[in-house]
Amino acid sequence: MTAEQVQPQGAAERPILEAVNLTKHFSVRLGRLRRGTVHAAEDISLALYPGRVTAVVGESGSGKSTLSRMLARTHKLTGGELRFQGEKIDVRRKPTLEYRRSVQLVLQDPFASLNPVHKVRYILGRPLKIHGREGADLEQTILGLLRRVALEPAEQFIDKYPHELSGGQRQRVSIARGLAVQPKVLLADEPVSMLDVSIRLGVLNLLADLRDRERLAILYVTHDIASARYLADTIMVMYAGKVVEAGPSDQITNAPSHPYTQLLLSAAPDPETAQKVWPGAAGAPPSLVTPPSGCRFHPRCPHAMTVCSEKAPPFFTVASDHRSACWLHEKAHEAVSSEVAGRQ
Amino acid sequence: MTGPKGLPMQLTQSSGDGAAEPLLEIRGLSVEYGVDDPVHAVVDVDLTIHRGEVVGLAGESGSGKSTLAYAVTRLLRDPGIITAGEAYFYDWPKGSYHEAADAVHVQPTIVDLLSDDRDAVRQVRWSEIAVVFQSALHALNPVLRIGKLLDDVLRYHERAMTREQRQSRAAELLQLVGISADRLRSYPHELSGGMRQRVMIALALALRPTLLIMDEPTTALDVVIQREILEELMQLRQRFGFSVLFITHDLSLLIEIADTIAVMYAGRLVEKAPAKALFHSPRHPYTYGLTRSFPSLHGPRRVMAGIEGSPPDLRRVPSGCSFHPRCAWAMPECATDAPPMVRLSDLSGERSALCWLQDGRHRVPEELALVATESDRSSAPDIVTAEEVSGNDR
Repeated sequence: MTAEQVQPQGAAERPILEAVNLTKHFSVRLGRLRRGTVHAAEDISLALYPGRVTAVVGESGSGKSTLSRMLARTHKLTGGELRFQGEKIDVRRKPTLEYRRSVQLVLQDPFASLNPVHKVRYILGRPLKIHGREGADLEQTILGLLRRVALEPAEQFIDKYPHELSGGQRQRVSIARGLAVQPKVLLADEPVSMLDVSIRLGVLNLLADLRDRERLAILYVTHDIASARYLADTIMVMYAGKVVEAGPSDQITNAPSHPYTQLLLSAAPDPETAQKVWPGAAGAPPSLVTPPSGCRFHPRCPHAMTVCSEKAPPFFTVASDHRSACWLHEKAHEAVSSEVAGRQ
Repeated sequence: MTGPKGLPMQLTQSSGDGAAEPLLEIRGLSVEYGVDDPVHAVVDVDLTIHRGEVVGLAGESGSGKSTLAYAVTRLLRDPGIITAGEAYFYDWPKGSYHEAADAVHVQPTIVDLLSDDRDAVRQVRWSEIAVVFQSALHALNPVLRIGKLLDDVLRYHERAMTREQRQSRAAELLQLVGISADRLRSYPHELSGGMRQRVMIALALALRPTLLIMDEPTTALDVVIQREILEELMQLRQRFGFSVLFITHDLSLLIEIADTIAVMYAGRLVEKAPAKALFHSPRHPYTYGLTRSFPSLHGPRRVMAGIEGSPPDLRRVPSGCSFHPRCAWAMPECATDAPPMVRLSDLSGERSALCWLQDGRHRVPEELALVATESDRSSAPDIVTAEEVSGNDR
């Protein structure tokens, strides 16, 4: 572990994968001559620990998928650094096979992410061959993988094509492919949003099981804050490319301290709340080519102050391990912040 | 498909209770896709939508919920065939939604939606039964401006309107759904997903329909925009008094907005109940599983199981009850005999479930016999909007 590394409080173990100030800009054409920059993700820091699930919650365009792809290193970083098992990674170099093996990405759409012309046997066998992990018997290894994701009887599933499987089964194959090379980190980008409601929980429970049994570090990217609360230990809320709030799941959902998190929570369908108060028309997320100055949420924020449009808020600690990027939590505004905290 | 020419039952006597007056009545509807080895998409479905009611139709992909809606509006594409059933639309006089039926003025004319006379359906489609389709991007003609899209409907259906009247009506419609009138000159691709869906709703409301069929209107949208649109929809409904058939796979959403929820599984309607009763005291094992499939934002975090297995192939639906391979309480007869639709009645009101367990001869498992209370009775949606709280008009 390097000397300058900051150990977050309350973390007994050291993080397996750590990201510091990750930034990603995409260059786009705006007209025939004009070019613009999409500020897809800015200054995102997070740490993934073995045996823990971290959820990234946000609307479309919030940069949550960009983040997962930066961690998988399929996107080049515009800025920031990555530390893997405490060691700094040279992000300008191509990722090593070792990194690719240890950090696996599971994609959203199991109908598009499995090659339709190949059988499950080939789909799961390929990563094993590439990474030289066939084991004594390739077939037995594949059967073992299928059993690990509860596709039983495995002997039947091994010779099926993706089109012969249901959505939930496909997503399990997709997860099995990620698990094939014994990764330490699993990046799951909206793994259940394309699945039917009745089978979503099965896949979420599988991820929880992998966390507990195999001590995997899991990044769970989702737009559904209720499922994030169900599965994750830590939730990070993103808005327009920035992290607005991060903390333990229960803290975030029970006592959200950022106005955007509060908006997100009040919008989420939740039949157990008898009376809902909806704050009314809330506007739309901003353009990432010309993001608002200061806090990116300030044009929509009911509590916006002058400072919000001038300076981007830093993280303020609202409780242990619970940080919120909102000026309301600065000491001077404590009176308002307690009001905000008391609203939910 | 020619229905009996006699009047459907409820019509002969008019009741004072506005909620009990039917608007759309579907009886025994079956739809198949293809002739050889057909897919039984909808099987023997009964569903009645009353005036002013919000009916939620829930089900997973392939459960037949959209097919049902397309069948009754006769928008079913080949190779879809309606093989059995009846569907009647009660065409009440325009603007009479707040008036109960009386013997003289407020009387519906009945339209047989499944008749061979396609013009009969054309008379009511859009003007009385409007559909909001799922994918707004694909449902709006990309080469026409929003103003033109609205103008087309009015020009065809409201022949008496002048050009200026149509223009002002189009602007009014956009404002109704919270879009400024200068967007009339925009093309669909220039609007965000939420705005496109709002345009779809404006189009559907253009002719003041009495029934709005919404097929997964918010599925592709973010939660915040989804909530905004639903709030607007509910306000519009209070103002104009139309009924809504809301089709979605998201049961948690329906519990908040619907009065009555019907749940479909493998083409059959398996349970129908007042929304809150369905959530608090489900009677069908599938509904029970569904209500325990979405994590809550409150209370202790606990492990939930969802439903084992996956939905069946509609070409080879299991014999007997199509849910029996996934059912925790399956009995021998479930695999062989199709279950009856059992009508039940409790404090929450009338309800029904398609299950052998509820037929009175079996001991009902505790989980499927939770007591419904008076407060589960269907009522107006209980979402308090900011307007109502602060009292100012938007």
